[in-house]
Amino acid sequence: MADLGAMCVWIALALASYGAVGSVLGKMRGSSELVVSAQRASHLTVLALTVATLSLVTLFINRDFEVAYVAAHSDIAMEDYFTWVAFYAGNEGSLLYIAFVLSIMAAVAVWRAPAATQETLPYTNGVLMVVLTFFLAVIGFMANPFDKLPFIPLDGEGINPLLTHFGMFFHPPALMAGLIAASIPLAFVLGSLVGGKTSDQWLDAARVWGIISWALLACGLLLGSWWAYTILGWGGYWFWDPVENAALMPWLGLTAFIHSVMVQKRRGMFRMWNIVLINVAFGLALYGMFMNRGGSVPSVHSFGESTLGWIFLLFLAVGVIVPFAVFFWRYNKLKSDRDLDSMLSREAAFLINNLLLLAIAFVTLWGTVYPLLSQLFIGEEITLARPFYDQMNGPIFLALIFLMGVGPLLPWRQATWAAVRRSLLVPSIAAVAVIVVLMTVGIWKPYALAGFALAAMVTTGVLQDWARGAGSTAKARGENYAAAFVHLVWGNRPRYGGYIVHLAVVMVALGVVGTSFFNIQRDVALAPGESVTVRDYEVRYLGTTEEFKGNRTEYLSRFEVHKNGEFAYLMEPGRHFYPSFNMASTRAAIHSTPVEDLYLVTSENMADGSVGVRILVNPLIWWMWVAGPVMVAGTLIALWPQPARIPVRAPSLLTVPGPRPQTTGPGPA
Amino acid sequence: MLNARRSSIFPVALATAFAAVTLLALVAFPSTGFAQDGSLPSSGPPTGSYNEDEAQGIDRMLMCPVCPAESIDQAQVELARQMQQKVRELLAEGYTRQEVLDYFEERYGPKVLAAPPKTGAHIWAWVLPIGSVLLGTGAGLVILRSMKRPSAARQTVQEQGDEDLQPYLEEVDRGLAFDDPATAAGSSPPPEEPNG
Amino acid sequence: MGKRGWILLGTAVPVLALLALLTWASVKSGGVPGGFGVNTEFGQVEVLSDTPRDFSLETLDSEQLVLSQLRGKVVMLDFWSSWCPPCRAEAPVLSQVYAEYDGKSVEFIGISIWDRKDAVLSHVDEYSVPYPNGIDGDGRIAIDYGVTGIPEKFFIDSDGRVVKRFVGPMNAGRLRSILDELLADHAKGASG
Repeated sequence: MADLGAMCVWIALALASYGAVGSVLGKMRGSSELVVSAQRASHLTVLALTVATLSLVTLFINRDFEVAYVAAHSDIAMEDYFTWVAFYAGNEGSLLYIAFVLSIMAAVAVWRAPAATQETLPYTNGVLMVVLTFFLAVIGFMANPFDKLPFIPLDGEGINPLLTHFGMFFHPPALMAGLIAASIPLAFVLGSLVGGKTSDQWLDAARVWGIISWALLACGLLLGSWWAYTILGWGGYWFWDPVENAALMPWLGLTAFIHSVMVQKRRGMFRMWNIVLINVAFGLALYGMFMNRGGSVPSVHSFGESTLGWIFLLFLAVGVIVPFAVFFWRYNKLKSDRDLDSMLSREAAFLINNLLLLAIAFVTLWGTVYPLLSQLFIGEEITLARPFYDQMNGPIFLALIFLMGVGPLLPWRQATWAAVRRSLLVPSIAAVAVIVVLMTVGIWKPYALAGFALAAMVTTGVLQDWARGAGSTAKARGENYAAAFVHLVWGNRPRYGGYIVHLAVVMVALGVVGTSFFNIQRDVALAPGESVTVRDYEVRYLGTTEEFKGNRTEYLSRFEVHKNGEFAYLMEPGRHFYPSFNMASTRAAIHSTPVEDLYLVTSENMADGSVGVRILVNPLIWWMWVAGPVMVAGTLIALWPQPARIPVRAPSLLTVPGPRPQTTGPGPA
Repeated sequence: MLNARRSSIFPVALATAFAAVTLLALVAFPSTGFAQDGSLPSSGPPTGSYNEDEAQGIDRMLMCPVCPAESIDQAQVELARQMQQKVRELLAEGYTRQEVLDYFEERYGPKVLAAPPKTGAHIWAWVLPIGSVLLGTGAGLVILRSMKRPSAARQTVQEQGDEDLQPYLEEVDRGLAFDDPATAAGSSPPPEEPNG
Repeated sequence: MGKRGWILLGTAVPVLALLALLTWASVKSGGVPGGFGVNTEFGQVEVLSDTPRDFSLETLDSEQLVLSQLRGKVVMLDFWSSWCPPCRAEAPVLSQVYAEYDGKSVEFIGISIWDRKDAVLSHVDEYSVPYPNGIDGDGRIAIDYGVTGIPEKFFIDSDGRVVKRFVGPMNAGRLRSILDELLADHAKGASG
């Protein structure tokens, strides 16, 4: 089985490299047979990598400890369903996973490529196959999951206990898939540019794959935060760890890209800027992979034993320099169709949004490399951790949310001041009302006030727009409001999907503001029978059961929670102590409600039965986890294919002579 | 109707000014930073007389020296707990926040601090990114303005774009939104602009 | 220079600078992941502060050991844990060298940190450690010395100042040469 898997990796490597060379050569020489055969070879990598992947899964299920990777990441006691996690728990397997995902996405992207990209598709395919070849070569020559040990160990080393968590089933694969998916929009852009198609040919494909990559990263980030919240045992969800940042930065770049690309779609502007943005986003994704695998920055999440730093650094350099070189090569052909009409327009708002997103990405990048810079220039290593990011990025995020509230309400081209005032009137009133209410109940923290006010503004703005749209649709179609609303959303999925995603962002913001400014934390030691009161929660410690399981002792502590003097519920946080590492992993007990979470995690089990426990009240964090599914729903709506129609761009203002009949209905044209 | 120039730059100026002012305010007054969790009443810390919220604030500003990229507030190792204890002892002895931080910096070196002080050579860690962000945003806005239609053309637009036309323009915008073409892979390419 | 040239410059300079920085860092850390983070440097490290840091330690024999009472001797302070493999590996070496310097003005003190008492006792028993050992249960001493890993050694000269600090295990030859050097300094100071 290991031999089959290894063989498939080599076959895939051969196919991918042939696919890369064949596509490009065939296109350049005008040999369509070569192009077609190269494309088929590229598609066949999916088959080869499926077999390789299944081989590794089978090896795990059989616990074939002769294979070094299986021995290092599983043991006999491991439940079979953790095979899914063990598969990518280490460097080798995760690379195979990335290659597998990339081969599938590349095949789908090429197969479903829009007509406009057909002519330059061989170049696009070539770019994708170069990326795939890189990964397969690294797997084959440097990190082969099918390598065998010279002996067969009796048992494996077991899976990292921190990974045996539900969040781990989706968080790493979503992140890795998102990072690698960023190569697809780039491939379409590069392919078009190399092929001399310097207009909007790549636009639709790049937008769709940009959104897919963005959504995967967003899910990965949220699930990662959730994992950290429930298992790392300190009650937080995000701490600007270098590897968290590594996933955040490409996400920011892609967020900028998928907004800015709308301007190109509707107005034919920002073409160069969008190419730069996708280059930046891809570069940041490569930087993220480099940091994960032997990057020179400390982190708790990285693949500890990686020695692949050099090769990924090289890949990063090539992956950044080549796309920019192509961009400058084609620079003179890339002109916008249009000028900007006004600074008070949606275009301008999008550009400012881009700048703010890049500002956060830059500050974050700065924070991750500053330890190196300070070492170089000051001679001592200085850390820039959470206080730095909070102080620097916090205000920019607030400005972004402000823009998220204003931008979609501005029309394209140009707004008059009066129109802006009209659309912003209700949201502004809502914002002010929230501030007044909060101040009367005694909340005076400026950041919290700003955060809640902006959240109210964005939400009201979105709802107001929905109500107006549904109203005019209902009138035009003679339907009731609910039906009209469904028609409205379904008739313009990208726009309303985007709105839903914006609401999800507001929900995340609520969670961030709630936990950053209103959380309560108490660390106490309790003997059985003792209790502690945290605000209106009375937490009584009942006792701990202890169970010895091979390499660890599992403690399960029981707490009784009384609220307002009445018994409310039981909570049972757990803690697994590994004596050989002097290390423990924790399972927090969380009682979650939309208003606040009560969070209990034990930090120490003393010999006399008493425990050290951290008790947290985390307001509004529930909204952050609910935002995940909402965000996915919004993305799916935005991406759901619409029947092809002749697109109409917003006409240039100067060509609008005066009022003329205009359809307002959402139905099919 | 408002002056056209003023109105056209308004949201840009507002957003930029907002970002700039808050950035500067934060750097100038670190005590308003996001990292602290404010003035909630302390509910009886176990020993000594110190402010638990202050202690938790300090915990978040000290990195655990034996763990990669975790503060002592987060880290689950024994040293982190011992350092937390030490923070509370020092506070109970009357140390200020800065003195506690200095105590640890003297022993573990500057990398024990989660963020360097805004003084001396370390000021660059703060100033340079702010400077670059402002510079980059400024450059972006200059480029954006340079993309603007020549002012003569704008003038005509301005004359036309008055109140009466506005509801219509909104309708156009909304109507066009309905005509937004399929965006998924497989849709037809956008044809050349009919009337550039 | 045209607009294109400026954009080229504005892109190329930061990108290349970043790549150069990452390359430099990778060279410096020898391609080891985690950068200069956690104990990648073994061997001698800089002493951050030479202020004498006195402490009193209850040894495993229930005696009070006060560092300042050892003035005039060269003291080797070893922070260790029973669960740390390098500490176990070097335990015989330390005992052997300690025996060699019997009668000279050298003292070793073992301080066990982040550990449990039963494990410490069985370790000391197993390797029959001849020099005084104690448990720093609340980490007070370790924090005062800024210990970041185990094993970690501090050499204190006869005036009570920390003069050398070593991270990671040490072989007998190295230990002897350091002790000899400090003893020579001591002798010089005493005669001159």
